[in-house]
Amino acid sequence: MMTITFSLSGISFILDAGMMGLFCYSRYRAYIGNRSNQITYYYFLASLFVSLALLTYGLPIFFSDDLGIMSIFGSTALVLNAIGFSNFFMIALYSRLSSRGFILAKHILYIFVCLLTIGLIVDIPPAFIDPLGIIHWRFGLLVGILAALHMDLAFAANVYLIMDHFYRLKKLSILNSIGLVTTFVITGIAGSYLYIGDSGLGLGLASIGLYAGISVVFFLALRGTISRFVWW
Amino acid sequence: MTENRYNWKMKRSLIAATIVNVTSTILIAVYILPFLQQSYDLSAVQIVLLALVFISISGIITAGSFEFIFNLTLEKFLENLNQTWDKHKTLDSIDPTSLPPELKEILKTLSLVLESGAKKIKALESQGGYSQSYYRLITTISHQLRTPITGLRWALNIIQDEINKSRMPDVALVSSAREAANRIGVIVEGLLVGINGSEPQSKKARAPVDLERCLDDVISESSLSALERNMTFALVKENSPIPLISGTEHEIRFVLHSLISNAIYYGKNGTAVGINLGLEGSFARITVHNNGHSIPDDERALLFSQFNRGDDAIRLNPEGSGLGLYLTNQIVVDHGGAISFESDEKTGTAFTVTFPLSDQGQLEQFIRHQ
Repeated sequence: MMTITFSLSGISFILDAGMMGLFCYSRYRAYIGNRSNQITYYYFLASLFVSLALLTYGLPIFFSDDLGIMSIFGSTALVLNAIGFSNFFMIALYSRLSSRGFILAKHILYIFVCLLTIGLIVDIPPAFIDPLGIIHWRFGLLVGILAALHMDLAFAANVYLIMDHFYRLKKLSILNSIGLVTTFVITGIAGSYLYIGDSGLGLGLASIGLYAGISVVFFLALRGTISRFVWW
Repeated sequence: MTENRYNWKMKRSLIAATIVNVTSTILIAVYILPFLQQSYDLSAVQIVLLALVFISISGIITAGSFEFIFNLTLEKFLENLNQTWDKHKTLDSIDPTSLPPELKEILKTLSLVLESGAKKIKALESQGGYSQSYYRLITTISHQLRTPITGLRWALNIIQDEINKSRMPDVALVSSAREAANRIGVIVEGLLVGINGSEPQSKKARAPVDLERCLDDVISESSLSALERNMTFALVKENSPIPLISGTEHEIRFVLHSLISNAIYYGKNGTAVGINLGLEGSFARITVHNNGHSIPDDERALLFSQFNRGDDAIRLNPEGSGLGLYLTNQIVVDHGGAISFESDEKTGTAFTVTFPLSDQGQLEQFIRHQ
């Protein structure tokens, strides 16, 4: 029977998924309007996988009494997240590498995701929810570090890309430029801790950080969506 | 038949990639999975999942190898085309049997186009030396020089008249004349750099270009020519700032000069030249519109031809060379853009050019429309 238990981090993951979903939808609309912009395409793919991952992270709140299912959802979410981060990585790589280099890097990133999956299958994380409702994923040390590094490198590459062209980007939209950098920095730090940390307080703060970081892109996407209807 | 249809080298590479990947997947299944099972005490479900992941890795490597081989073949084909063309000015020495059918068709079309081009070049060569890159550089820059020189000449004439009548010349006019003179200096400097450079028209020289700044400069440089015809500019920027495009700046400036000066020369005195700058997907779009004589139907097909000048064009702008639109079209197409026009006696003539955004321009477009 399905048991619904209140879980602070579970609920925050589901809210994060909703917010990231709106960002993904706005990217999808932009991509449909202009299929030739590869940057929009990779942002769309990345946000799609990350929002699916966040939803998968949050779903265990419905199965909190079944640790096995929680571990499976956590591992699946990590794989989805890694696919999302690979697409974030591709945004920076697309702008920097030659076509040959990009093909190579793209497939290396996909193989990296497969290696993470192997790590998760071999060493299933013993996830649990503590009495305060905080989910402890407890990914294996190697998997956790690799996944965190993957995410942080992808975000750092994107921050570098934006900062590199900041002089012009700020003229186009200073809010969107700073907003994206803020999201990458906050979610990069908070997300890494969720992968490798095990302290209840730290994980709680990381969940709040993740929520705050994703809220920024949510409001940017919301502002963009509303401004299509009402000028402000 | 098979050898004729596909490049054997490419086929061999594809077969090799597939064999290596299938073999490695089988080896992994036979050796690594039991090893992992013993080391980690895996359940049957975990083994099945691991097998699926290994198959996925194999699939990714195979897909990557295929993409790489196809990409490599295309790049080699293009390199071969460029080298053969640079050396022999013909594509006859490329062996079509070693190419996949799609590339064979492209080669055939290219050969036909180049054959007709080669005839024209030979004709030009017989009239005196011909170097396409320098020819284009000199023509674009001399075309750019024409606008400020015409403006300067006109302004100096008026200033001379004013002085003859013992009147103080208009300060704005003097300042515009000085600007035109400065612009000539900048263009001449560009000419010297181009002549000293080894490859003035190289595609490698392409860099992000600020189209909006170029347009503002060209409008400012053309202001004297417009003033001479009592014309004004009506500039509309649908999206400002426009994301950066990819190109060679002096060629982009040439295109803008060409379109704007044509709009002035062939527009009615006292009317406005409409300039619209905007975005169209991942392309920047510029439309230049004038209220003037429409382009006759029988001249439209030859509008972008070299040395083509219609009767109206000769009458309205006798100094024209018949190279402006030809080179404009060439430059726009070389940059991966497009050029089109609409002409009607009532509404006038509008030329529209598009240029693809650079990688940085795509990022800028993304940031703006988030």
